Amino acid sequence: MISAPDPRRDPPWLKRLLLVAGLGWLGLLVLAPIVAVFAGALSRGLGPYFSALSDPATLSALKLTLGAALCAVPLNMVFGVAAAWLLARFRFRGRQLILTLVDLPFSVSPVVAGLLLVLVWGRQGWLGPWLSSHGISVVFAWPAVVLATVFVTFPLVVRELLPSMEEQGSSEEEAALMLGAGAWTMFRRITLPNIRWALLYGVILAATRAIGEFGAVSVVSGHVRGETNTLPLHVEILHNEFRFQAAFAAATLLIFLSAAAVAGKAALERKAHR
Amino acid sequence: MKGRHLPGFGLSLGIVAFWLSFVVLIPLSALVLKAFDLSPAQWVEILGAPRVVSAFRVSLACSLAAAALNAVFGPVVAWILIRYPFPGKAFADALVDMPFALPTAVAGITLSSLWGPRGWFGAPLMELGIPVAYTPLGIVLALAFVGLPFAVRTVQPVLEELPGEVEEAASLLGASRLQVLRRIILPALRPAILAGFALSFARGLGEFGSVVFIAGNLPGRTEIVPLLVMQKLEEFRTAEASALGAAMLLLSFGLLFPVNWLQARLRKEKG
Amino acid sequence: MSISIRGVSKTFGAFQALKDVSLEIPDGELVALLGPSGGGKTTLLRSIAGLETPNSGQILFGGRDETLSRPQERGVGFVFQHYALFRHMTVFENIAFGLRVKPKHERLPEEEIRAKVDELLKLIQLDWIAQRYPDQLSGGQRQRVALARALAPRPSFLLLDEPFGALDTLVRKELRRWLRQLHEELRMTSIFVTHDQDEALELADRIVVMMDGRVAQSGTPDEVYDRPATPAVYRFLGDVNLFHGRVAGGAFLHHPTAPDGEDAATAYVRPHELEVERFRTSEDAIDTVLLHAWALGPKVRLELRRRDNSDLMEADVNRDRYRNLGLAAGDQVWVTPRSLRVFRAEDEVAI
Repeated sequence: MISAPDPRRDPPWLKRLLLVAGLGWLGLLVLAPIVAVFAGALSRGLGPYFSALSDPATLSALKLTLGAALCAVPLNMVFGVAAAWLLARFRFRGRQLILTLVDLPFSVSPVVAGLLLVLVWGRQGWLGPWLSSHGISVVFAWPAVVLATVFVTFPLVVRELLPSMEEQGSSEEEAALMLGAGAWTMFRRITLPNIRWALLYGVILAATRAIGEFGAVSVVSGHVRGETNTLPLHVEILHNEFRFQAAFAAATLLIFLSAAAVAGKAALERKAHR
Repeated sequence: MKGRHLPGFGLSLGIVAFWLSFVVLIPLSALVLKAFDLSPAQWVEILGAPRVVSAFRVSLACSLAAAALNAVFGPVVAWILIRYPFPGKAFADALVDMPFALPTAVAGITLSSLWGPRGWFGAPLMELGIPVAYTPLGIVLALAFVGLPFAVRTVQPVLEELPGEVEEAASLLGASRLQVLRRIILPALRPAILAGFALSFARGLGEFGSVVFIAGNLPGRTEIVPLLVMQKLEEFRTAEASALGAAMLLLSFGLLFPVNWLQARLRKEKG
Repeated sequence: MSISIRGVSKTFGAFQALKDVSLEIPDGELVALLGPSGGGKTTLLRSIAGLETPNSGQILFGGRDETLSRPQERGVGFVFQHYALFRHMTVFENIAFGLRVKPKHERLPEEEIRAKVDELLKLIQLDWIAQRYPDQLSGGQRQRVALARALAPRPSFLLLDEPFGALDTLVRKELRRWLRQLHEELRMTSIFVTHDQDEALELADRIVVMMDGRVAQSGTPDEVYDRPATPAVYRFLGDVNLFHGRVAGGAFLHHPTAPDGEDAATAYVRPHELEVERFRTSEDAIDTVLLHAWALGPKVRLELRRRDNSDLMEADVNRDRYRNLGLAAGDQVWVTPRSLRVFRAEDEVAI
């Protein structure tokens, strides 16, 4: 049997070259660093690895990290759904401005984000004097960690929801209204089920970013061990104290969290493709 | 106004306006006001200081180099992920997302140990007389790491939706495979590659966590702008930090604008 | 219930979609809103449903002003162009939705809801796929589910936006017949939007032709087809031949090219209204050459070129007649219009 050559097939030498270049780059740049973390963490065997993980400072850092994410992500979830509804379903003056402002935290360096928070909430900031006279400390305390996390995860949920809502169009929602559904029923029974995967996806992204944020949190936290020290900051401290094995051990925790997020994202994408 | 018959306009506008002001607008205006406190002479003094100038030079040059590397390798990675079957493809696809998901501090410590003078890659290179850690090369590497997902993920969907008929038509008209790649596929990908380049560049300018560990932070040589902002803040020189922060913001807006324009064009091309 | 539309206008930015539209739709009629795209028919339908709010004018249901009421309160059944089925609900749940979202005191007990949905499923002959999801259905099945869903809460009217637009010819034909039967049974005031004149002519009790944001004509299918109000309506409702000429003493005089002057006019003739002969039998006969002939179902369409001004014309003859004429391409053919509709500019002149 004679078969015509597939016109979309690349010559073998080109295919080999691109595969080597692409996979080589991925391996060198991404895979090797991840492997190196585990190698560093296990460099003294399993015993020291687990004892580094059960160190009270590491555990409290993990708790603070998860706590900040648990505060910031639901807040941004509510905001994200509201903003996506507003931007996808209505055309009004000022819409473009809101779009730009929503995207803004993406383009702000995490360090500058921290600076912004210091300027408002810090001791010399706008609200600083009032806050300190009432005995409330924000900067160098856990509220600042939450605020920084909110800032950096701000656009993520909206960004996932907006295209999905726009693509779906409003006719299912209109149909629900025509059938007599009220606003809340429409939202709960039609809108929410339709955006649930995009929402989950956005929440995963936001949670990942929240857990891993370093620069912004670094500026506002004050590195108070056991109180404002998130896991990424804890990794930095251990590294600066030349306790490399412990630093890498704590880093594996963060890698597990990121890998879980990436796996969740991949699973959602497969679901969306089907 | 479109869609006034749909409910929830007032409520969602209220939530968005409140949350935007609280999280973005008020902090941003604090920065703007702080920056206005400075006289023009002070601005010149702060931004013209040799250490600041060279920090900007390092940040810009390294981000550009990293974005350029990604503009080459990003599309290659996207191409093999879309077009070639190979074992472990799903794993490779997931790896692309890791720089985005991995905390930057973790990236920082592992890159600095890997490419440091005693690391797996750093040691042999050191023998060849090429130091990586604590040089601009190390910064470029860290920035290439954080920018990679942007470069791949902007190109990937465009490549996926490229209609196969176009390639078939070109080869029926007598074009060789290389001609098809160069004259049909590459031009179609160009806006996406450019957008990926710009996103990776913008991300690189602001990046902090993954860079500080590998850079060595020698003033004038491997010190980046975000680190300088950090230091000014630690010394409670808020005004100077604000001036630098405002300059960085302006720089990223200068980038954001063309990027948004490019992406709007991409969306239009996709239909 | 009857619907009155009084002076309704609607603009989108700089685009005026509806220009002072007034229309009366009597109770129980099946009405087609027919016209080219961009003519305003969908905007009018959505305004009646409450999905658009007019900039001015009034919409009345049975004499009650509903211009500003919310879509939920209008009691309108709406079938969307792409059906807008709830993709995460089964066919059964889709149809039950309108019954389930009623306020507690109006809501039927669960068994009655089930019974009613089952009844509707039988009506649309899809009771065997009640538990499927919309993406497991064919286009025709989706269409019927959308219709059943709209009918479930017992609306006062049924509005359908391009109901057959996305279906292939065979399914379309079957569904048309089915919709017509359904209307005979329910006698519910129904309005559907279409750009297909055959669909409108076959189904509707009344056709409203919408063009350029206005009602160009409203009448029974026969009125609209046989006595189009404007040349534009004429052209939209089927193939047409056009003759230039003058109006003099109540008669139309043919003229090879478009003449100037007050009495200049254009006459329109449908292809089946032309008499075709091998020889000249009347004064008015036009000298043409046969270019091409092809079978079009029971009739044969002739493509002709006028000898005097080289304009193209189309004429229909039945198959027997075509065989008797024994025509071949290149033959001379004499054509006489049996009836003419003459317009001076956009105004009709009675001849």
